Amino acid sequence: MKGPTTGGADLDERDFESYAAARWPSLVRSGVFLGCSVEDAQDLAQSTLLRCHVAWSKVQRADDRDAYVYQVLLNCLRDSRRRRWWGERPTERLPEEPVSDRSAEVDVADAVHRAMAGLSNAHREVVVLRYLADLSAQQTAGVLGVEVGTVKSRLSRALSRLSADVHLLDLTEGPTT
Amino acid sequence: MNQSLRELWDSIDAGPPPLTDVRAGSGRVRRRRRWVTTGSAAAVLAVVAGGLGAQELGADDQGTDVASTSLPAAPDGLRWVGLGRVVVAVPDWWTTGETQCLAPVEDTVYFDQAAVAECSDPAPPAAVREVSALAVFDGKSGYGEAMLREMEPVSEVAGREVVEREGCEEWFPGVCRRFFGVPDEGVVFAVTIADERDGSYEAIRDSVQVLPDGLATVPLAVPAGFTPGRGSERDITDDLVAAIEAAGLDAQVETVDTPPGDTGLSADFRPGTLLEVSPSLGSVIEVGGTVTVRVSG
Repeated sequence: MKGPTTGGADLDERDFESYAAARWPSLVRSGVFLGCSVEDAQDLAQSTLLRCHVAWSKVQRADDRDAYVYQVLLNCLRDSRRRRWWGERPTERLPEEPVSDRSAEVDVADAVHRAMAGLSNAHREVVVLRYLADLSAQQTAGVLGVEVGTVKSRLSRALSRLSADVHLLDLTEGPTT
Repeated sequence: MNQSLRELWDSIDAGPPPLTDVRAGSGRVRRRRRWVTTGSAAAVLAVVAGGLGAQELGADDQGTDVASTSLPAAPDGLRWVGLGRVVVAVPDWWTTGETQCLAPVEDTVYFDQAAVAECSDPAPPAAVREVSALAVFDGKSGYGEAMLREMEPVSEVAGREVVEREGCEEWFPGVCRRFFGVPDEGVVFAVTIADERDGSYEAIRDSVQVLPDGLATVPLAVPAGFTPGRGSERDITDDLVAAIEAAGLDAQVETVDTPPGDTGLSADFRPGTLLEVSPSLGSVIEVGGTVTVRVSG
């Protein structure tokens, strides 16, 4: 029979799983838009969720859960950029699925990177958090540690720059050949 | 453009969330943290058993022996100082709260959260450049919180992450300071070393301790966000006494009368002006212990 503590832990675990499943695609995509390959973005998202799982009660208590988790994601990314190494994370089982042809993923990631290449890190982060991951201006400001006005001005400048980007125009208009 | 960005976003196949791997990895981290915590506790106990116990805390002004808990003694020439339950070891000649318009003018420890709204007598830049200092911030609000967001883990203490910020901040022309903190305890430190004989940033960072149950620190600041020093006026002294009591400590105010003709300790101060606090602000004290606040009569 499960006691109350176990029941509470189960509830926490279900809460984490539900949250992680819902946010996983967005975390991976954020990683790609922040400059990672799809594979590295998956590692980044996994590291983020791992840190959050270890301190899930803290995440639950956070005023803004999404802002907290994206803050962890950016911290993991900056950390990895400093070390230039994602580190190995041993797993307790071998991958069950055969390695698939990932050329399509590489193409997409390459297109994203070309489109975002003209932006500074600060502008890229604002575009990802505010524009693509759908955080509010307030949440984005909280994650980046800047004023809401700074978020708005950075976003405006970044989008203006993107609108003139030849790589994105190519994507919009299709191949020119 | 908006459309194509969105299309790119949606076209990224993230795959299924690796929940099994996350749970397994999380279990390993928790086991490692338990081991680190147990190891730290064992190390502290070993130091105490080896005769280097908390005698450094020694006897406070009331003669109360506070050597019964397991904070290791600060090494020779150093003293513990901090905020809340987090302390670091700084050279014992570093004073407390010797600032001018919130800039240190001696080797000192001070709380740095107030805004300099009006300052008629700013510190001479040369004086600030010549001193080493430990600035302490509340990591739960304002600047300290913003700094914590820029920090990355470097180690652990008592199961809490210790984080630090890359590089240094030139907060004053020609003066660079480096930051570290303990986010779980909401404390951030900024270290300025003007002379290598004053110590090192790394040594201060690596000395960080979380106080065991039974110990606390004397409040380092008044609610306005700065460390009061000798000469602070009555209203500041009153705020300090209130802060000490709010921290669960017993504040004992002693009035020092100036003998006629004396030009020493409390001369020229208006009644109620702060003269001295013992144990000093930010130092370690037993929970519920007594802090003596001496004021001019």
